[in-house]
Amino acid sequence: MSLQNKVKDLEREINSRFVGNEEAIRMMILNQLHPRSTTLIRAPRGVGKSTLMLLVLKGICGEGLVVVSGASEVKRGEVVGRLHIPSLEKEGVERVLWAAFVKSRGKALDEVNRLNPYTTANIHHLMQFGEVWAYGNKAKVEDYVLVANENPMDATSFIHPPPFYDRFDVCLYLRSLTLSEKFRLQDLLEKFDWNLFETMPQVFPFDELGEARKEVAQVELDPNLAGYVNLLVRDFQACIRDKEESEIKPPALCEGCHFIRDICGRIKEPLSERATVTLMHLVKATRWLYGTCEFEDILRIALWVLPHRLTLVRTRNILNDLQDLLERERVKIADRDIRRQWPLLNELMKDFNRPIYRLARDAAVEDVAFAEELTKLEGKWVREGILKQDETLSVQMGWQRPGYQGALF
Amino acid sequence: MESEKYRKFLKQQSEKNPVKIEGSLVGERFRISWEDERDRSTLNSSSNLLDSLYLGKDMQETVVVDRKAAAMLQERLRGLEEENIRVRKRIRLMKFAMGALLVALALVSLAFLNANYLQIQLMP
Repeated sequence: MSLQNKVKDLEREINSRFVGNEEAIRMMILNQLHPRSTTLIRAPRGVGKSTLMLLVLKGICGEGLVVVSGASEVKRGEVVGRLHIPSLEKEGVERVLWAAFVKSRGKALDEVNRLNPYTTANIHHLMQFGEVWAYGNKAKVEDYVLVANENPMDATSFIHPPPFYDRFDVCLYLRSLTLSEKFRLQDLLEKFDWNLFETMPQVFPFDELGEARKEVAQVELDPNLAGYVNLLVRDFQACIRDKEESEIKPPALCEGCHFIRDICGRIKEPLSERATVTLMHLVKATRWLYGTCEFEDILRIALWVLPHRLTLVRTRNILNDLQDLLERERVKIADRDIRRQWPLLNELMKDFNRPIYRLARDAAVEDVAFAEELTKLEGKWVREGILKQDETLSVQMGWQRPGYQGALF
Repeated sequence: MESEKYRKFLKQQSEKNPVKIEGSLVGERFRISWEDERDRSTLNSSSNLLDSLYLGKDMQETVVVDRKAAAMLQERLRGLEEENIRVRKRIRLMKFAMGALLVALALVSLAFLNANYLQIQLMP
């Protein structure tokens, strides 16, 4: 049986025990196909966060999974490691007994929002560098599958720093069950003797997952797909007024801006580059698993990669708001095709040509990401004496990329 | 230094959405056009709403209306709405006039009848 079929078997097995939320499950399975995968599940209480987390981990790691629960009192020794007292007493050496959580392949974090900040900081370090520290000793953490869940509406939550959440590849939102789905859940519970987790078999062992991860890593991405991923992330980051460094944030920053109605005007805190890395992993995984990946698939994937990574100017329902922004992105990409702006840029990169440059300028006043690339070329042409500084789009529109005396930051 | 993948992306986009350049780029006499084979094939059957309205052509699955046509249709709808309001006002006025005429006719008939009656009475 091929590795792809085994992955699909795992998805089928989970779907046979978990009612609804098929898209979230599909994304969760896809996200396991790259090394050191991290998944965050967000949902209100009693929707099945912990069940889904345990089903996935048991399907991959069998009994070799360790759960750290934010709901219980968690000590550093249980998450990272504790001192080996006999070694200290007899030999005067500080030896560390590393915790099962560090050594296990399957790592589960239940109710992350209730985890104390010290434990969170240790886990943050583990996710960032793939290592843990205790009593001056370092332990390298092998490849793993980490799944966490939280209910952000819980009143007893700690507010964890945004960079911690940024380390999670995807953030999956679960919904409550419809009437017919509730009946299906009751049938399932009776079928599995009221224990969905204990009866879950190890469908796709970790060693085979490792093989699949290697294969996925070798998938060559089509430059078009890579371009769409980079464009999407850039559209969610770009700001002609440099909001990343600005003290004033949108919407105040956007007053009077030419691009006020664009996607950028709806985003307060932009995406980090980790969004690009995760999107690339997931696009590769889609290609490997299903044999194809289109622009539509990228938009579908983005819905789960972006919600925990950005802050919108106004949020009513994060998934609906994001869907709205992704729909705008679809229109933006189509507009770019109609304006032929990338072919124009392609021509301009070969050589400067005034009529093509004029057309490119027209396109640039409608698109921040394109304007950035064109102004970069303008800088080169000004340095080469082909164009005068006063003639450039950046001067005429008052757009400036951050830099000092011509050297861009 | 630009990434090779970025250049490939631009090249692939150029192949996907070609820009037709007629003449030499070096000289001043050349023409840039957007149209490609894909565009041309869709031009055979009209998706234009105005063509369908005024020329009786069949519409495609998706109807594309450019901004000018949409503005024209909007303007026409606005004109029809105004015309509608004006005609309704006129109908209401006509209804009043007809009512008044009917009342007047009734009064005249009554007066006429009374006059005949008196005339009949006066005659011995």
